[in-house]
Amino acid sequence: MRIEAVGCVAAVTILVATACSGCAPATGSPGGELTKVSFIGVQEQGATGYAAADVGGAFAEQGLDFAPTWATSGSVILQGVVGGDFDVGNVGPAQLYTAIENGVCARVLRPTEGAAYGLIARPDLHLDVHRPFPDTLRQLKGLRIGVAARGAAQELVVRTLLKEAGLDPNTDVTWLAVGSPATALAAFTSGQVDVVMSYTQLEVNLRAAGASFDKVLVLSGSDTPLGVFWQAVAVANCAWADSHPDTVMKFCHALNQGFASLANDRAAGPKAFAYVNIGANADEAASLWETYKSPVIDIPPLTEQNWRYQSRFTPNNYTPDFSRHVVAGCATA
Amino acid sequence: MVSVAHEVEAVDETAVRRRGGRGRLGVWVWRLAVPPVALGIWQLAYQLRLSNRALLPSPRTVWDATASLQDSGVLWPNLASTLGAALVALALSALVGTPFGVLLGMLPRAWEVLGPYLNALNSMPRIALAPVFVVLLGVGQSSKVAVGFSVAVFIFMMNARAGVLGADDEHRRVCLTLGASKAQMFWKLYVPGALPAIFAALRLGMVYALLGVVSSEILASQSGVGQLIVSYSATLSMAYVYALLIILAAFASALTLVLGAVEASLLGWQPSRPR
Amino acid sequence: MDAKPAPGCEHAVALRSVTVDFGANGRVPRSVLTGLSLDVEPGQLVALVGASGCGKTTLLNLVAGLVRPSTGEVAVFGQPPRVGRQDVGYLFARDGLLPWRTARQNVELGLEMRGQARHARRDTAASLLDRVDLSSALDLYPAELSQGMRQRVALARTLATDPALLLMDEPFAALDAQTRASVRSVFLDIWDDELDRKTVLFVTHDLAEALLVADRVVSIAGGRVRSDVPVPWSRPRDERSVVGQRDFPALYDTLHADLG
Repeated sequence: MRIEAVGCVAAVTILVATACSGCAPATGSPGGELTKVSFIGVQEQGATGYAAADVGGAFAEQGLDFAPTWATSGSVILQGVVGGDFDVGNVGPAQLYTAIENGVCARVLRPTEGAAYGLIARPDLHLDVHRPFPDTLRQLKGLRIGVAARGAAQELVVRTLLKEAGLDPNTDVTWLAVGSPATALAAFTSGQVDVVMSYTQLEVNLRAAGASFDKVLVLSGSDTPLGVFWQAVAVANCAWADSHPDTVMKFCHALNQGFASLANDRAAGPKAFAYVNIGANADEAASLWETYKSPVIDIPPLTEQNWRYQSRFTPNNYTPDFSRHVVAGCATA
Repeated sequence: MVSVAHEVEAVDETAVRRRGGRGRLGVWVWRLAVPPVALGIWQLAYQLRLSNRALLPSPRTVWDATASLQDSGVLWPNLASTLGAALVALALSALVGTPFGVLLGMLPRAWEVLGPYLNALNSMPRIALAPVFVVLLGVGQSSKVAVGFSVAVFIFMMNARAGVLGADDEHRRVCLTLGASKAQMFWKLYVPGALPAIFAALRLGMVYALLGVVSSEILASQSGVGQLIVSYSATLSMAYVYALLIILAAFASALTLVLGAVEASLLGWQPSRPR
Repeated sequence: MDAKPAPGCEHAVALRSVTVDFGANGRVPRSVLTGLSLDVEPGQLVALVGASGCGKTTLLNLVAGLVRPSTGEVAVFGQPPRVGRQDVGYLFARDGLLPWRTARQNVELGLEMRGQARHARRDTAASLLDRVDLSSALDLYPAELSQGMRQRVALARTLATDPALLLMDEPFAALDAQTRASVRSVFLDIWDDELDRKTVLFVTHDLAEALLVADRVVSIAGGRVRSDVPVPWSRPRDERSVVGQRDFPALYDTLHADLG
């Protein structure tokens, strides 16, 4: 009897152990250790910092489950974060400031991308690419300008630049929405638009498709008419951020680690680029990283002065209150 | 003579019913009271913070937005673009859809053959074809009109056909025995008989043509109210969005009223109450 | 405008052993008329009576050309029937006035179909509406007219093209007793008044009415003619005097027995 009892106990113990070995603690099962943070952004260079944090395990280390959804425009992202469908989003500050001016609540974590734009034109228009700013923009008079979404960050930035060049953005140009990198490519190459606000992903796609373009105005890097420009900032839903301050801090810390790894770890950048689909394979991602890394490595720091600067690109030059809308301590977490 | 007096009485009664009397004035008083009441409820909701103030601005803010749209010269060109495209789409739908629908009603065999395919086409959400139309016709007025037409033409087709099918058998037999040719049946029986259904289609078609046009504009367009709505929604400037929607609705209502007046004059023969 | 019968042909309407079968398309076939024969002289007013569904309306539709016989022959003034013949007019149980046309325009309908000129049409319509006592209703729509008035307009419409043969399918059945009497007498006055009387086939379910209006009452039962009763009394007739006639009950009973 005793042998059979011991055998029974042993069998049960083995069964339980086998079952439990299937319970991996780090796979985010319901009621598991990880806290889910839902994120929405455009799958392109602006999301590189988050990508680096996820690929490098920084989020997991903080006990966070980073769950990204990829959108086609800043408008969708803004509406998703404000509406509470997502906890964190990646959005252009000009668009965000104007929404805050309209009464929206949002908490900014840190800037995630410096200037990485460009104005490109169809080569058959034969625009002069050597003219300096602002003169070169006068060539755009009467042309059709394509932006990702009407009224979103890209349009706001170009409107400011046009005004500085003495043009009326309401009457001197025609605005057209061209959507995500894929549809923007189609709109540009099929001649539906004359000029497009370009960014890394779009230029990569254009080159891959063998389509040529004239770069009328370089807007990427630190020495452009855009100045200390933030192309994107991480913004959090108010209710979520205010009720989960610890989670927010952990998120900030992980994100900061992601950016640090981009600056210090040679392998981190290409992997992050591959995560956001820049480059069809590892080699391509590595070479593209060498060309396009600076907007996510040299980001103007989060100071009150830089915060105020971004209002230059809003229609009414509005700056939201720094202490109310920026989560203190996040950028250095 | 008793029977004649009985009949004269019946005519007088009908005449009084048609005039309407004091009842009509009462309806208009109530009608004019609705907007102030609605505004009051809106203002109350705003003050009680029943909704996020960014998403539901006060009536005053929306009024200011309307004034701003007017002053900046943004409103009228875009409104004209949208309404113009919608009217063209409506007219085209009526001109193409109505005769086709009447013929389908007159020729049951044609309906048997084509009906399933037309129903299939009709159940496709044509707004989803907007990107195709934009690629084919560009971002000008043509693609908008095409989307609006594709939505509204079926309304005219189906309504005209229903109008023909609803033609009284008695009326048909009367015309036949009076020696009507097919063409005479078309012009003297089916078309006038289908007019009530056609006017219903006009009112409904107006709404759907506008829907198609604005949807196409939201997708891609050089000008129009749809574009403006997208633009203002991007920065959650909801006051402008509501202003545009209210203006659009006001114009559409005005058009519907005009249609109603035309209908009342052309269809004055309809009995005002069932006998 | 009167169509004369073809030379050598005596009858306005001639039916020979006519059978009408309904029931194509998989439905249970039934014969409405079986081997029916009937001759009608020009200028006769023949009433057709019988139980519901016995085929009276089908007979009218045969003559009008709306239905084809399965077997047998039909001749109208010596010619085969055809829908829309000018010499045949049809007044239905319900007026069938086009609601979007005024009374005058409804009366003009048949003349429009024949292509008559505007002035002539208007004059004809006006005079006919005058004959049915509706001059005041010229520009009213059917919705504004009482039932009796509408049926009078329908009568005017049917008479407008001056057909030699009139088919009438329970034309006064939908009217109340008083209106029926008055419209009926208007009709009889018009019919009686003419030099060349029109031939009339008058369907009714009211035996008393049949005996009142007709020269001859034909009862249909079992798909064929059961009785063919000449009405001996002179015109003009009115209800009271007809009912009071000596031979009225016998005639009435004969016809009534056929209904069973």
